[in-house]
Amino acid sequence: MNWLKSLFLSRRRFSDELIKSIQEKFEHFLKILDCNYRVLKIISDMEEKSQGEYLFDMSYIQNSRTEINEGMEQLIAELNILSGDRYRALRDRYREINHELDMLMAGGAAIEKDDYVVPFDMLGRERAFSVGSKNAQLGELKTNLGLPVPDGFAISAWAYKRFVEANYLQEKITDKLSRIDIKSYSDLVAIGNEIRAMVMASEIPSDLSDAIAAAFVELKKRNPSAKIAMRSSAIGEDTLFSFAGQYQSLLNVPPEKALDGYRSIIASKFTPQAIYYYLSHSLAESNLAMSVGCTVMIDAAAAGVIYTRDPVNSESDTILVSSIFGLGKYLVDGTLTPDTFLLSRNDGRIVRSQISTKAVCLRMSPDGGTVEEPVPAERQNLPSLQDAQLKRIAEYALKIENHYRTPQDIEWAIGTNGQIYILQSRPLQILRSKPTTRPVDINLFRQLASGGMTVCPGAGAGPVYKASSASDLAAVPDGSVLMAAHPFPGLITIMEKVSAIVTSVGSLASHMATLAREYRVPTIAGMQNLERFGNGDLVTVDATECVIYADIQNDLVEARKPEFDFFEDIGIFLILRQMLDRIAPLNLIGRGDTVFKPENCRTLHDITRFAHQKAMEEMFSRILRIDNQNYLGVTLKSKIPLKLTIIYIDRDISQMAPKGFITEEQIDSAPMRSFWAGVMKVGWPSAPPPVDFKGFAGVLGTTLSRSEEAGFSENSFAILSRNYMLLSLRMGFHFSTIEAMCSEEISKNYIRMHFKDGGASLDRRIRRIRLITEVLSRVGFECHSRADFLDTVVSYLDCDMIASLLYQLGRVTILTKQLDMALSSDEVTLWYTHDILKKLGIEPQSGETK
Amino acid sequence: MKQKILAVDDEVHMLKLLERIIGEKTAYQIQTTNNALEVPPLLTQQNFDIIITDLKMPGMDGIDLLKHIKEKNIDSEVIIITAFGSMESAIEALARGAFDYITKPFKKEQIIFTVDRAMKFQQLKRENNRFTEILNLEPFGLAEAKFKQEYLNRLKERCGAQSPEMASRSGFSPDEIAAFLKNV
Repeated sequence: MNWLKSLFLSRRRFSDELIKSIQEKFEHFLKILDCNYRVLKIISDMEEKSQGEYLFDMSYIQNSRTEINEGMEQLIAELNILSGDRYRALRDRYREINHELDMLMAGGAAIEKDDYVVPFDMLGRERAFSVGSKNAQLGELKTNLGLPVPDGFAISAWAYKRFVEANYLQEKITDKLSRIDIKSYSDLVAIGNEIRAMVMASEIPSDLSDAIAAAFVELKKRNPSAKIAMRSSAIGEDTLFSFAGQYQSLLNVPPEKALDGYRSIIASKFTPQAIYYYLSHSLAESNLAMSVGCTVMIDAAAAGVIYTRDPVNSESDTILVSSIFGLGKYLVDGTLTPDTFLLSRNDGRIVRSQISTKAVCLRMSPDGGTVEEPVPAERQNLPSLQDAQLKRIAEYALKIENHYRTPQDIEWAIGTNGQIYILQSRPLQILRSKPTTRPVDINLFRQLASGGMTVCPGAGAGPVYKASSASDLAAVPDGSVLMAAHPFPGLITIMEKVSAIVTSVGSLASHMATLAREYRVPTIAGMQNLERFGNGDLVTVDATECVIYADIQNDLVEARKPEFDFFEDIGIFLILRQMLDRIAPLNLIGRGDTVFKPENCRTLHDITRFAHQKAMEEMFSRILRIDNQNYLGVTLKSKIPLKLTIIYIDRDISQMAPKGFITEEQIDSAPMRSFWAGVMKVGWPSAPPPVDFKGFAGVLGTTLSRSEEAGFSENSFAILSRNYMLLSLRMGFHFSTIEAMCSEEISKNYIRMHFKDGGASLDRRIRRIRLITEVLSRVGFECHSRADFLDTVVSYLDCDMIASLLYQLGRVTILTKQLDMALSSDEVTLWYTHDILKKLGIEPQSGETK
Repeated sequence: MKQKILAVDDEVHMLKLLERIIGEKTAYQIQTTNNALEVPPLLTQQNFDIIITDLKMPGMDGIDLLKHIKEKNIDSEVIIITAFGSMESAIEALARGAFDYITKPFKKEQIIFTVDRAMKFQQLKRENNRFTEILNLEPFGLAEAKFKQEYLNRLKERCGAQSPEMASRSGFSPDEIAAFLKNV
């Protein structure tokens, strides 16, 4: 007998130690839960604010992010304490996501030390902070997608910092900008001029100028006959805020002019339109460091822009290609009306093409710069792109869109040798507006002109004001209809003043068009015969239908008012929503190691989910092992024929259960009591629901798949404290884990259930998941399911609510036991769904009225 | 004439939101500025029924603005927008005569209700001032004449300037009514 006694004692000692270590770990586990729910609470607060019912400011977003970051860092740290540093990769993933969030704030982070110049080959999109998005994306396209982009290098933000600091510019610039009234065009011009003069008069420190000169020489060495273009690539440009065409590009820059070019691009940060752009979006100028891209110029036979979706019609499934002969500048600045081609996104078929008259084109000049050349008369009306080229460009574009997972606005060029190059790619902002259904009788109005294309839908009315250059802009009256032959730089500064814009040249793809959509100004491009209008004529512009009517037609303006979300077009909502895309969605749904990997965490919510799951596994994995099970805890004595082992983590169980078992009445864990009461209410079913033959056949099939669970308990067990429950149930063939916290502090309370497997075939198991989802959603659970796996949660409820939901969950657990076998069709499933809802008292019993 | 609101905030986002909400959901007219230093000269040129101002701004903060308004005896009611957690400054603003404060972030309705209340208060205050002025006039004859003027103004509004109806409802003779209408 002695050996038996010593075996018993050693087991006893072992189990005591195990429980003690679990109790110690439990402190960290609780901290993780706490961080988890703190973070989720802030996330839901941000989601609430993004719905358009609240007014908030940037500091709200910043404060929320600070709080989230504190919670996330503590969460990850605690998980690593709990696991002995097993999840360091999670920290990296968190930093990456956080970095993406920083980028959305348009340059909110400090400029990090870097080389002054960086070749494109060494760039990827993660470098947007140091070389601006335009440069970084070119590197990304080249190195990660293998697309043809021109050879070149970036002059970094670090270089910009060097230039600005060496000349003590920042303080002077900030001071001057703070004195601007953004509604005053003359202010913008005067102060812009002062700052630009200051920049142009500043010295480039010799270490920087040497680096730029050397990189130029290198580039020339690799491409001896090449001409070089310099383009702005500011931090914050091409993000949520397009800054379309706000900064300078210099084409065909001779090496000896490179430094002047560099200065002049930096100075272009302070044109009236650029200043207006960032001030009107509440962006701090000091955060928008100017990086510059220097690329080999493509001597373009044709060039243009491709939108991977129609920016004014989010429903349509088309790609929009705009194209002209020669360099693309004449397209984006609106000098020419381009050829446009609409292609189907599905099969690349050309749905529609419109060939315009292209009388001139812009070419490189042999002695630097560019020169306008006439297009021979016989070519002016020919398409600037061949079908095969069109198809190829569209393929590239979709590849890029697929890579970034968001519609793109891409500039491309075709060299004289026929080679296609991608010059730039940025996210395309799409107007998601519902057309209003308000009827308006346009027959009552006198039509004055029609034609052109919708750049931004809507209607606006007011007196005509004709402008031909920036100097006309200071006098633009509020509410007028601006008419211009070409879109020209500076138009942006009046976008919030005018009621509509009409140009006779230009297209959907010019920079002005991008900006008009950003500012939601009803705009038509390409409308002929604007000469008939005189200053002061009262007109109504219907940009949706491309018609101009006589007089002010307020009914039409109202009727065409697109039903945008109330605040949707206001910058700060865009920022919050785009941030939430990287914060709130839950992608980690499922179970097991293939799903729960740090690299699968795409959002901060995923990271909290990951940490919670792993913390739970860390805590309890040792208990889950079969070989430990039998030494631990006590058994629950119940009428329900279910072997359930109970482990208490906040007390010594031996006092409570000297005989190795406790009774149902002795359960003093609040969540467990409630759940078990629900189980008892239904009672153990005397027989499973009626099953057809196929139901049984499924059982045979799934028994095999269960081998993956080997090593885990075939029994059920519960880990309990006064407020906490982790219940692992093996009920016939399904497996569920229910975790609940039921404390005085509402913010800490939650219930989470995982449900998986079953005895029947997969289609029936999926039906059962759908049934449970339906039932639990009705009582307030948030459910995520994938195949036959369900992850469902409620949180932030007081103890009584948690208790009553656990009670319901207990009932549902028994009511759905082996039910999968009976769910032979959707009709049967529906019947059972209603049956269970009635039994739970959620739907009235038949005969009762609502 | 539309009642006017001036909104002052260094953050243009907030101004845009206020412009949108006041412009589309109320009948008031709103003007905005992102530069608080512009406000004092602006107040010498125009009258605003309400000024909505952020508390923390560079150059001149909400409290400075409030002091200026009270010192110059400007009639505008001031609504202060404060960040969550700056209750003390909000109380200081109330002590210095702000109409009310709102804590960011706030619901659309919250600003609309507050603005509506301030407008109503502004109206009552002006009306009260007018009557107090009349009651303080000496001798009585002067007060009586002024009162009669006020009475007839209201009567005219009620009766849509129809002189026979004005006479029959008020008991004034048609001649008296005609004389009054001629003077208006």
